[in-house]
Amino acid sequence: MSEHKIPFIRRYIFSTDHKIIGIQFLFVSLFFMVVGGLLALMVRWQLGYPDRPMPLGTLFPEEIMPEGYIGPELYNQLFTMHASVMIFLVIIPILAGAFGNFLIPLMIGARDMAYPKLNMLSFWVSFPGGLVMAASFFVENGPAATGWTAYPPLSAVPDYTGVTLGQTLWIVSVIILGTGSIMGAVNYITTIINMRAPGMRFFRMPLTIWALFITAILQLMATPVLAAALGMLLFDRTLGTNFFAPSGGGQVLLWQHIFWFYSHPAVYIMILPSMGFVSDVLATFARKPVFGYKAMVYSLMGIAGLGFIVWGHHMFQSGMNPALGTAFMMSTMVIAVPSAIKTFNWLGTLWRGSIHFTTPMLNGMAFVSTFIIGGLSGVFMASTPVDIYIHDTYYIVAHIHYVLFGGSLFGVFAAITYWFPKMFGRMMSETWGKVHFVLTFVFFNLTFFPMHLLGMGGHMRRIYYDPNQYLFLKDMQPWNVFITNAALVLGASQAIFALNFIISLFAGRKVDRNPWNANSLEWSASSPAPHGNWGDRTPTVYRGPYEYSVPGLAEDFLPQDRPGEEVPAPPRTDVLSPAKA
Amino acid sequence: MTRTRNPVPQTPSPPVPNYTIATLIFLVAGAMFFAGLIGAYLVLRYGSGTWPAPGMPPLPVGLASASTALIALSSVALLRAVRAMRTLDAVTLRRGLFASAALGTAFLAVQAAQWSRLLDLGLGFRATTYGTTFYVLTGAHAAHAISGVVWLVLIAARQRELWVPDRRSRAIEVCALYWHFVGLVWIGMFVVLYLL
Amino acid sequence: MRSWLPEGVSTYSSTIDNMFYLILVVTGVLFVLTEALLFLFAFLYRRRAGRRATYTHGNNTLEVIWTIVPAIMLVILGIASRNAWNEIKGSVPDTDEVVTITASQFNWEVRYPGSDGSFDTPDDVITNNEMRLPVGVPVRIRLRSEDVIHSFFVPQFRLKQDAVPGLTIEVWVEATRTGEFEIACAELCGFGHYSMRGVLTVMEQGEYRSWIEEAQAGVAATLAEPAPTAAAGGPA
Ligand code: HEA
Ligand code: HEA
Ligand code: CUA
Ligand SMILES: [Cu+2]
Repeated sequence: MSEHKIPFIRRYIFSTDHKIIGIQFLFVSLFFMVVGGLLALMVRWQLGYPDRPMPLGTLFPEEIMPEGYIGPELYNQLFTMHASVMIFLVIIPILAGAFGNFLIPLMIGARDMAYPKLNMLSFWVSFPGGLVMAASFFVENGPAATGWTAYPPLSAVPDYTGVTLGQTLWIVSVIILGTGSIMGAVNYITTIINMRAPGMRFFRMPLTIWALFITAILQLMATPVLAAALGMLLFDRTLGTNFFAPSGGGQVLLWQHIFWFYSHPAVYIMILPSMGFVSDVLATFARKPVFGYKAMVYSLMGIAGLGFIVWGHHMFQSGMNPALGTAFMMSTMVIAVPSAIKTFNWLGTLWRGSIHFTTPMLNGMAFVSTFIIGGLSGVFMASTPVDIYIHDTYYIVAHIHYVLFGGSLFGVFAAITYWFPKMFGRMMSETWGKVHFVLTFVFFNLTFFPMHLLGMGGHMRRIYYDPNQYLFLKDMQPWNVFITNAALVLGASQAIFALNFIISLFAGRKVDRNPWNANSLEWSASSPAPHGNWGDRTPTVYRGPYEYSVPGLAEDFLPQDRPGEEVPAPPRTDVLSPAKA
Repeated sequence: MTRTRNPVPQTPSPPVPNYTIATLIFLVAGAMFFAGLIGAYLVLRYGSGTWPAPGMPPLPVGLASASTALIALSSVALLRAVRAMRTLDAVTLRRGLFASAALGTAFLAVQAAQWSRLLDLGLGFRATTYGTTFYVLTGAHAAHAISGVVWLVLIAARQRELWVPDRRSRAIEVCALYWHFVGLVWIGMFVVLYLL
Repeated sequence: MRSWLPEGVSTYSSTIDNMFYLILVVTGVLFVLTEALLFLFAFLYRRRAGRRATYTHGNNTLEVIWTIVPAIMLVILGIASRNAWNEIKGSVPDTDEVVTITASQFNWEVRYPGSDGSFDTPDDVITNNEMRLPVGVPVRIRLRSEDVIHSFFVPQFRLKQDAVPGLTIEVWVEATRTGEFEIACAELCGFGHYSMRGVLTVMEQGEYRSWIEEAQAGVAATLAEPAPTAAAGGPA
């Protein structure tokens, strides 16, 4: 165990160990999740209680929150930064950065990434990128205020928002974060192509790995395009060029096209890994092979591929040619098909399983349940005529949160609770995990479901609430109060998770290699796995990752690396004797 | 590139080595970056009534053809250098690397000549999207080309022995892929900016 | 308290609503089906002593079914949506009524042609954040913006269209009843976005005629006076 001699700073700070890097990403992202969540609660406070100062609001400087009230400028900054933090500093880094790093080598049987130093660099590029975004809170005139979509001319000309350096820092930060993502993606793809353990064929990889692989390809291809657009925006903003300024020959819609060319694939970057985690979690706790493994793989590919040709569905009302709208609508409708395949296969996985309701399983099932709602609401928006009405209303906000919180974040909760023992060698508390799950599931739905109704009522998004403005919004205000109350409980419930997480780090029950009796390779390394993952041996893989409840075996699982015959197609039951293990 | 510290081979000898895959993947990202820029250029160009912008000089196709020829020759020189490396001919290798770097430098010089000519003719960076897109596209490309030339020179300068250490041979292969990429992007830009 | 689609008062509002309800029914059925299965399976197949999970890797027939059936449903929804979309966006009904709206931070400038019948001439009738339209005739609305992107939104019309700097975008609407409605800005346009509210009055045609004629006359009268700053606001 020579790694014990590695000094602390190289072991935990500038580590090249993929697991440590993954955990670094995890901690940083969870920290930012608290930030993003608190920003959301401030948004909610304004919407629910515009006539009352925010609790603790007086602690903020007077010029930001006079007497503890949130003004319209601040409001715009709050939801902009809420979304930017959640997307760029929480969901993407936690899915790709934390779990991509932690899981890829462990699950394919590699001792580390192909390029450990590049991997370290990717964290140490991303982290300052996050700091730049955080710094924008403290500069003169505050952080960005244009929504996370940063549409010019609003974002290109400081006078239109009054925000100066903050918006520029936002652009720079996203460029830096994108660079970090690309570095990660290069590493992941190379590692998955070239570093699989003997016997780990592509179609024996767990769906988590497939999902992370395809996500990396999406990141690789989409992020540079965003970088180009951000560069142009930065030039418009700081050098006075006119890419997006019609007065100087530029085009306003150009930004939207490029931005969504990136950001639609990006929303799948934010869901595919969760889909992968959930597939693994569902199989493990239903004690059953994933239903339709290959269909799951192909549908991941289908979502990713189609994801590049649907961006225009964000622009139906933008003034884009209506005929183009029809084309984008059709491609968007088609992209629901692979999602349908996945949904039905998850249900198929549960069918006739033997379901253990552990915390990861509950969160995984919540993922399926809420992803369905979020996905189905996407079909309304995909329909061009319906989108005329619901575009830029709370219907969209409901969709966003059903797919991103209900989808991605429940997937993350499932993943954290599932792989926690592998990361830290200890279990999280199941009891508190379930309490957190129930509260989150209930108050999540109470918070976000009514937003559909607000959207149907025509309630615009990105609207600071002033009771003296729109009468029809005033009419819907009771819903907003209800939502705010639910959101406050939802936010408070997350403290349970945070406490459970932190306490379990130090006081959780210690566990052995394979606490869940799962099959994939990471469970054959010790918990936590040492540098190099398996000491001086690497595992050899004999079968796919989902051989649960194989007939004829005493145990209901059959690890990928247990030597023996390959498991043949289902009808045969005389497979192999467990004695060989 | 970093060596694998692992004593145990990961997969029974992967058919394509890590560094080639990683480089190609990285270049896909680069290609998407330039695709984004070129796409934006096309949208702006075909969305505007007159191109070149009124009163602005046309782009110097002659000079650009010269730079295209130079960067193409540079790639050819590098191809030959890499072939020499494979046949363990270190002298030709070194010569090829320097030749490639020299041609690359010449390419950059012609690019600089283009910019100064156009600036003299009044094509500013800010005033028109015609000017902005031209400088941004060629500038982004030149930035890549400069890093490529510097890299080539560094490698060539170090190649003094009569043999090529493994590690350097990998670096040369990676650098060559990168340099060919830079050349291809230029050819794409030449077609789009000057010939369309 | 409004928590459903508001009353629709344009000729195409019911087209949009029907499309909405069609999708609601389709997705509603799928929602109930999938969620019910999820909960049913969770209940039926909870872990029990002595029962083992069924060992199966899937079923190709099922895969084909649940690929094709949703695909067909989605294509049908797509075609129905396209038809509705073409009805709304395909062609503008023949009409002489044209209004130009110029959005700016944070104001809707509504412009009617003066007695010369053309826009952007000194005799235009201009109102701010107030719009009047006749009921029962199609009206073309030309949207422009002076600074950032805004979005012209009248919930009861089921009409929403961005106003984009550098573009003039034309939409149309035919109101089906008179009354007062709110105009909202639906695209984030700066700190005053929340307050970019306008009022739309749909009037009887005769009433509208006399209002516009009076307004035109008013502008003409101001123009006739030798005041140099003529084009500014007409009667409100
Ligand atoms: C994780 C993120 C995520 C995911 C997975 C999705 C998935 C989908 N999204 Fe969403 N989307 C966002 C994140 C995401 N979206 C965000 C953040 C925005 C707002 C951006 C902004 O403006 O700020 C947005 C906005 C957005 C719009 C623009 C709306 C507007 O601004 O007017 C549209 C329009 O088409 C859309 C459509 C879809 C569709 C069709 C899917 C599909 O992939 C969903 C497919 C899934 C299903 C359909 C459910 C499962 C299937 C079945 C149960 C059976 C079969 C179903 C049928 C036959 C109907 N999304
Ligand atoms: C992953 C993405 C994500 C997540 C999780 C959330 C979470 C929440 N969001 Fe957000 N939201 C977006 C993405 C997300 N949102 C996006 C993209 C937009 C569009 C913005 C735009 O228009 O530009 C948006 C916009 C948006 C709006 C619309 C604003 C407007 O249009 O005016 C609202 C309003 O209610 C809102 C509310 C909330 C609330 C109440 C939560 C709550 O769920 C928050 C509760 C959560 C917490 C309080 C977190 C606490 C976490 C922990 C304690 C765990 C820590 C663990 C450890 C330390 C171990 N969001
Ligand atoms: Cu104008 Cu929002
Ligand atoms: Cu999208």
